[in-house]
Amino acid sequence: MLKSYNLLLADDDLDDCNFFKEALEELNLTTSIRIVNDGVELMQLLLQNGFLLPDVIFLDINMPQKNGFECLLEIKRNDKLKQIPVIIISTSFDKKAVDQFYENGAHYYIRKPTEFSQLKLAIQKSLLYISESNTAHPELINFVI
Amino acid sequence: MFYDPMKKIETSLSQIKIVFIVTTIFLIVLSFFVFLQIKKLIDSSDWVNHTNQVTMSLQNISSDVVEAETNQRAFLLSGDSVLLKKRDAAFSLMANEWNFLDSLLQDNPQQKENLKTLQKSIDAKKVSMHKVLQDYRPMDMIPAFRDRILDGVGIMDQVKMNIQKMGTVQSQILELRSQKYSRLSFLTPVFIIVLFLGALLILLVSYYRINQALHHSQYLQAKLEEEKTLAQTVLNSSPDNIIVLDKELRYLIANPQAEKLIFKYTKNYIGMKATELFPSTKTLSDMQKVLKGESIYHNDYYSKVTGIHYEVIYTPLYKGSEIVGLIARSRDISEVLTTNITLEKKNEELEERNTFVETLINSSVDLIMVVDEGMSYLKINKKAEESFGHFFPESIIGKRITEVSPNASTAEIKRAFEGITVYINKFKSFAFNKYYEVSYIPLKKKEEVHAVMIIMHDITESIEIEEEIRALNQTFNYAEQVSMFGSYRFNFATKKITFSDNLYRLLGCFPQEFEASVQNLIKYVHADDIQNTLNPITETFTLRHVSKREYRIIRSDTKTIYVRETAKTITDDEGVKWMIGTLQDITEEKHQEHNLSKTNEDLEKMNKELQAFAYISSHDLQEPLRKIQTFSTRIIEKELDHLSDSAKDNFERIQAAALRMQTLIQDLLAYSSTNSDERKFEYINLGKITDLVQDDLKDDLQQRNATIETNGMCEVKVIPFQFTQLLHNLIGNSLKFSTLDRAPHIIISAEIIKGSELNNIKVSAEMNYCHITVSDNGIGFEPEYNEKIFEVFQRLHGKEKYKGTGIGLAIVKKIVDNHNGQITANGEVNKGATFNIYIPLS
Repeated sequence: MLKSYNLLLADDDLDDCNFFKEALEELNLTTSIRIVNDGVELMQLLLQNGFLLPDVIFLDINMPQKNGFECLLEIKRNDKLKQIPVIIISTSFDKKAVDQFYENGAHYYIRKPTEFSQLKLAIQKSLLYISESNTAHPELINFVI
Repeated sequence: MFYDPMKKIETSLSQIKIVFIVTTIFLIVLSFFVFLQIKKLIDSSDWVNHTNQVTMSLQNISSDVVEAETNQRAFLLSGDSVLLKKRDAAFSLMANEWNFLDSLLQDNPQQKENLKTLQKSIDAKKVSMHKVLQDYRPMDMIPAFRDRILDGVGIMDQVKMNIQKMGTVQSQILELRSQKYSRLSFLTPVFIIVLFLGALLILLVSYYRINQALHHSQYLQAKLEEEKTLAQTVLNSSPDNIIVLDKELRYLIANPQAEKLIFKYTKNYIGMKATELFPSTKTLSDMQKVLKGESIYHNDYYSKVTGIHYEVIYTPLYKGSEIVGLIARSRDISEVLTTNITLEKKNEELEERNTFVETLINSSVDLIMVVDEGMSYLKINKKAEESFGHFFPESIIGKRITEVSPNASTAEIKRAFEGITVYINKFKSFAFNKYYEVSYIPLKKKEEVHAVMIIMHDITESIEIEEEIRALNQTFNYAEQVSMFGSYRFNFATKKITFSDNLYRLLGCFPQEFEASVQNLIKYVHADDIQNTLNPITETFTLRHVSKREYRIIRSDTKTIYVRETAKTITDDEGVKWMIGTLQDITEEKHQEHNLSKTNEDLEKMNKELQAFAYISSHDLQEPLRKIQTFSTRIIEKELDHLSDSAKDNFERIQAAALRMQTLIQDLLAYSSTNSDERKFEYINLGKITDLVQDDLKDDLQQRNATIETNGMCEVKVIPFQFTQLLHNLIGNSLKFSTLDRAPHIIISAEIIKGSELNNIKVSAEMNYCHITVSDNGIGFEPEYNEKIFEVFQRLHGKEKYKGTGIGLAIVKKIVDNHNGQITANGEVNKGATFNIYIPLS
């Protein structure tokens, strides 16, 4: 169903990183995942020469040093990186902030669910959408998963 | 171009003359020839007659000779001498005949010769006969025979006599015919001449008549021509455009004036349709009416083709009683219009000026009177009429001054009649109980004063005002002292500044202690504030608006006070530019203000902190909570089999508690964000919001079999997002607090009412409000909770029975507050609850 994905997750919350990894494992997807814990680290990695660029970036908003919004802007302004789909994954859900992420080129927005099964479902859905839509920017109504 | 009948008649006249002359000559020649021919005919006839006479005469001679011979022979035979006598008678007859013949042959010499020959032969015969007789010897003859011869002679005589008789008759006939002939030969030429003369006469008469007729016709033609020329001249010299159109509205004639106009468009207009050249449906309909016999007149017709105003007259063109076309006359009236307008304008201006003067005089608040030399009133204005009317209901015109005002002094009038304008600046009229300023103005007509105009200007008020001003000044002075302000006035023209007494007092000085000047004033200003003050006068010089500044002043007693200087440039009624400024002691105010602003600042800071705390805490609280929830779901999903029943139960309780906490945090977040959210008001239909909420709560509504009834949904100006939340919370509440006995029924209704109808001191009476009611048939509440219900975390029921955080209605209240509205709640236990919301419409 899904092809092999090379994913990159940026999140400072170790628990959430673990949830994400476990969810991927349980989804039985042939994926590789690389995890960074803040924005600065993320950008350094992405701009590092010879680094194999990920197929999708999962990006938390509240991160130390450089937050998710700043990272998104930098990614979307960089010609080399801008075609990588970015999926925002955050606890907060502020309508205005959500719209801003959409306007600045984020593909999907996952509100961190309280139930683990829902997290699995959200990750699966987002990857499915991206593989189906061939990385095209989705409609606003489909933005939030 | 024109057919000339005059010429034709001229030609006809000369032709007729020629014809007449030719005819006359022909007649004369004809008559002459006829006469000649007849003459010839008569002559030839005479000649025939002559020849006949000659022939007859010759025959007579011959017969006479034969007679003489016969009688001689008869004598020879019978011897009867009577016969000889007969013979001689024959000869004598012949002699007569001879003379006659001779006369007939007078003009013919040849015949005359022949006649001579005949004479000789007859003479020979006579001789022969005579010889015979000489040899005569009577013979013996049987008597019977002689008798017989004698009888023969007698018979012969008889024959002769009969012939003679016939001849006589014939002669008589001839004579008659000759007579007739000679009469005819005389009458015929005469008749011919008469005939000729008659013909000539008839010819003459007819020539005369024709000539006369032609001349008359020529006269008529000339007259007609003259009239035509006159008409043509009139037509040509007319300033109007005149055109004649036929029944098909084609051009027949156009005068030069009209041609000028037409030539702008075409040269060959004759036969062209007028409506093609100047298309206008109005003209067309007009012309069609005219062809039906109407005459149409427009005093101002504007042609779109030429762009000119015309006066237009259409009249039908008659031939007998039949309309064969129409005459259109138009005149360019642009100039007339302009002239008219100018005239009208002039008239209007004149009238206006008249009215103006009249109005001016009559609307004057002054009493204006004109007095003649005899000191009698000639004219008075309306004001004077009114003023005097109190005493003299009938007009004072014609009355003497002394009659009207017995105490009046006429000295000034007399002086004015000498040509001097007299002016009295204050005159008290005891009759009117007023003060006047009076002018006596001589009115001149050709250097001669013929009347005096008296103008009485009421100055009572200004005198009163003067007094009032004095009082006001005093009041102002007191007022300045009471309210602790001083003032200055600066005259831009004279550059002079004056300070009020209290300004000095404000500075801790005695009134007018030092010279009023800007420099002197600035000396008192706190050194740190001089920068702020600068020179107030130079700065405010250009300012039209009120300028305000505050600074400190160090009084002469070293006390520091705060003052507020307010200044404005003012141009007074006389056009003098002033700057008026006041300095008010605001020390007290300043202290209070300082305290207040500090408190405000603190409050605002606290508020912000509180909001931030609420937002951040609720937001950050979510994260650990979410983890608790996720971990617990992980354990339940993965480790359920390893848990004892009580552990399972405890886990469920953890989850329930976490869920409650989540709701609580979300509500708190919503509550705090209703403050920080951008307040974007929009006009939106209440029904639309209701539909949204209904859709949101669809599952809950279905589950409880609830119904929502809406009435009079109207447009409201709200923050849509917040108002949706408001209705969501209210409907959610109604569902939550429904009873099991009956299906929830929620009624949402709206109406627009005036604030004054609400009897609520918190609403503005003039404003219109949208009154929204949300009522349900739920469990309701005790009326004592009507107010309390809106407080944060205020719960009326145990959370085991009814879920909730106690924030929902607090949010509702906050949203209504955000809309500057009012909300009230009315509850009745077990009957239901009603919420009344009033949202201002603008």
